[in-house]
Formats: sequence, C-alpha cells, structure tokens
Amino acid sequence: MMVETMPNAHVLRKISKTIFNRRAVSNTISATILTGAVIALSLAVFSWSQSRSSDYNREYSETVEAETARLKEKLVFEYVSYGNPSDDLAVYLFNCGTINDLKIKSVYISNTTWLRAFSTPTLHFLNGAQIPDQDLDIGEEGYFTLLLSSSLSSGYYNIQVVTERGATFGSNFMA
Amino acid sequence: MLIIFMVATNVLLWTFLRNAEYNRAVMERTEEEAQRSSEKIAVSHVNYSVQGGYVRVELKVANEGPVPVQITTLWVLDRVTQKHGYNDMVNINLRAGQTLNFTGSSALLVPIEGLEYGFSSEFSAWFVTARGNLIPLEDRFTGTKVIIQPSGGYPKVVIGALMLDFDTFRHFTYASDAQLANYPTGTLGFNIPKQTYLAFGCYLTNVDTMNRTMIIDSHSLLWQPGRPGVPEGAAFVVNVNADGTINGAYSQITLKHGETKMFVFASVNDLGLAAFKRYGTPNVVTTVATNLLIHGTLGSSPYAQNIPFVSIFLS
Repeated sequence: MMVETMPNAHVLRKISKTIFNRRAVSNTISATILTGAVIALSLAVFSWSQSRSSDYNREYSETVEAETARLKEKLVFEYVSYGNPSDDLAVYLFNCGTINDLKIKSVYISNTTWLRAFSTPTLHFLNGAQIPDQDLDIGEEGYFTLLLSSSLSSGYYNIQVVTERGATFGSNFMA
Repeated sequence: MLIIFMVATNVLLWTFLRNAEYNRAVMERTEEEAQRSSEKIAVSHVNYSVQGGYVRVELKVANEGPVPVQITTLWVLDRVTQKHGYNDMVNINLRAGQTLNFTGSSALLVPIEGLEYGFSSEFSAWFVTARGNLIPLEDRFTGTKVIIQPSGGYPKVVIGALMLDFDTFRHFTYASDAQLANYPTGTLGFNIPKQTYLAFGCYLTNVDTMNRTMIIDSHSLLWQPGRPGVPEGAAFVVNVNADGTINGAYSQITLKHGETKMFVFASVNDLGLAAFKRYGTPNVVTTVATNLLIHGTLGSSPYAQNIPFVSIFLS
C-alpha cells in the first residue's frame, strides 16, 4: 500500500509545482495590467480634469476680461439738444475711458411716466460725417440723433445709454 | 491625489492671475476717478462777442487743483435760439496752479450757425476736459446776456425786442404818386432833401428773448417831432411791392424771431384808418430827430414801443 501511494504523492507534487509556477507568471502579468490600468485611468482622469479646468479657466478669463473691459469704459454726455430742429434729440458723447471700440447698443429716454427705447443709433463725428466703424475710440467725440415721432411734453427727461459691453451711462435734459 | 493637486493648483493660480488683472483694472479706474474728481478749474472774466458766424469767448482760466488738466473742447449754447456750437481744437493744457488768459487775439472762437443776422442773445458755455469733466463758464442756470455787434460799420442797437440797423437807413424818392423810384436800394445816409416827397426805409430784426413772433400793424410810423420853426411830420408804415408800388391797403407784417426785414414808412395817413397820402419833408434846413413808433403784437401780447431812432439833416 505504501508503494502504491508514493507515485500519487509525486504526481501531487508535480501538479502542485505546476500550479505554483503558474501563479508566479500570473502575478507579473496582473501587476503589469494593473499598473497599465491605473496609468490609463490616471491619464483619463488627468485629461478630463485638464479639460474641465481649461474650460473653467477660459470661461473665467472671458468673464474677467469682459468685466475689466466694461470697467474701462467711460462715456460723458457733452450736450443733449432737444427740439433743434423740432422733435429731434441730438446726444453728444465723449469717450474719456481707457478702452477703444465703445459701441452703443441701446438708448432709453424716460421720465417718471414714460419710456421709449432705441437700438444701435447711428454715430456721427461732430462734423456730421458718419463714423465708419460705428464706435468711439479713446478720446473720440461723436453724436447720434434720435427722431422722436411726437413732441416731448415739457419737463425733465432721463437718458440712458447702454454700451455693447453692458456699461450704462446716464444724463438728464429738459424738453 | 497628485492629479487633483496639479489641477487644483493650476485652476487656483489661473484664478489668482485673473483676479489680479481685474483688481489692477479696478485700481486704475479708482485712480482715474480720483484724479477726475480732483480736477478744479476756475474760469473768470468771461466775455462773449460775435464776429461773423463765430462767438468769440474771452476768459481767464486757472487750474486750482493738484493735477494737470487738459481741456479738449469748448461748447457754446445760445440760450435764446437753442443753437449751439463747439470748438474741439482748443487743446488747453494747464499745469497745477497755472493760469492762462484768452483775451484779444487769443480769444477762443466757436462757430454757431445762424448768427449772421445779428441779434441780442444769452450765451452759456462749458469746457470738456480729457478726463471727462464738464466745466461751466458761468452758473448753470444763468447765461451771459450779449448784444451782438456787427463786425464793422455802425453798431446795431437793441431796444426792447427790436434791433435797429443804423447802417442801412435809407430814403426813397417817387417815380409817381404811389411808386417809389429807387426801391429797394434807395439812398443810404442821413442827409435828406427838404420839401420833397420821400419814403424812409430801415431794417429791423426781431430779437425777442422769448422767441416770440412780432406782428407790426398799420399804426406803426416814423415820427419826426416838431419844434419852433420846424413842423412835425409822420410817415406811417406801408407795404411795397417788388417794383416799388405802394399798396393802398396795408397788410400786417410778420417778423419771426431772428428775422430781419426792411420796413418802409411813407404815408401821412395810417392806412388802417385812411387812404395813402405821400409824406413830404418840411421846407427847412435843419437837423431833426426821428422816432419809431411801433405798434402790434408780440406773441399773443399787445406790443407798442417808442424808439428813438436816427437824426436826419434836411437841406
């Protein structure tokens, strides 16, 4: 019986050895695969994070640049002329800010009970020539004319000019 | 962890950078506003006159603030007609504490359309500085009254709502009983033939400060007061056609604000009350005074004015 059991032990040892050897090869591969997976995942996460942070940075930069540009705008009403000729409102402006390309998007005329809006009025130089690029650069003076369909009743009116960058400038005039 | 740290650092640094840029812009803007607020300009000895189509502004300007000031534009507003003009080439640079005089040949000129007729007016003016301050030359709600003088010749005189032009006083002779011979040119001057049928012409301008329209009716006349040895005379206003014919009936003459028209005085009778009859100068050699007696309406109000006018020498 003892003799009969010996070969069985040998076989078992062989099988065990085979299994043991296989386990050694599998660890290397698994370690490699795992490392690769970790690196790939890291790259993916890094790429995604980088993309997201770039988006955030870009949006934030655009917001800050827009705010900064708006902050640099400064418009002065040199004169507001109403009724010369009749029902025309001429608004003379001066860009005394520190940024070029000041474009006018909207104009609002109002008093306590009345409001009227105008969009993108045509800008002229003081000599009457139309401004080609329709904006006021630093130190540039210009005017626009609003044609009111009916006469304004006597009294004080408020005028608000909104620029394309979103800055608002106001003045008053008497009709 | 490292990736999170790297990305977060990147975002943080970028944010700091942008915030720094914005803060710098805010600081610059604040500084500009501070400098703008500290501009202090004193303007004195303001005097307006008119030369042709220009308003001539003489003044003294002093920089009483701590920062240098650049004046870029001068605006002038005629408060009566609401006409305005500007001179954007003045370019006055004032150091802190500096005073500059703009008088005589250095006076600042501002073109305003529609000044060529000459009239009395009330001007307001203001400077615009490069930093965007508007500096009024006088109190905001009061202008400076000016009697505009022509650039040459006899002065024009404003009395009430009318401006009289001495330079263009003239007389006309007759081609027939009711037709002037040399209309509208006439003979300029103040030496008038005695004992002659004549008509007188003069230019009047409506310079009412409230922009009202004047209507002159038939009761208006050129009156020559009498004195011992000199009979008085009267020549009522008439309408004259282009060929010099005097209309038998008078239609009221309208004179809008700023408008100048020639008025002819020729009839002994008021044409609203009686028929036309030629005026004749007295047979004396002497100097006599004349008055303009104007009657009508100014806006919706009655208007009548006795204006000492020219002296004429009869010979």
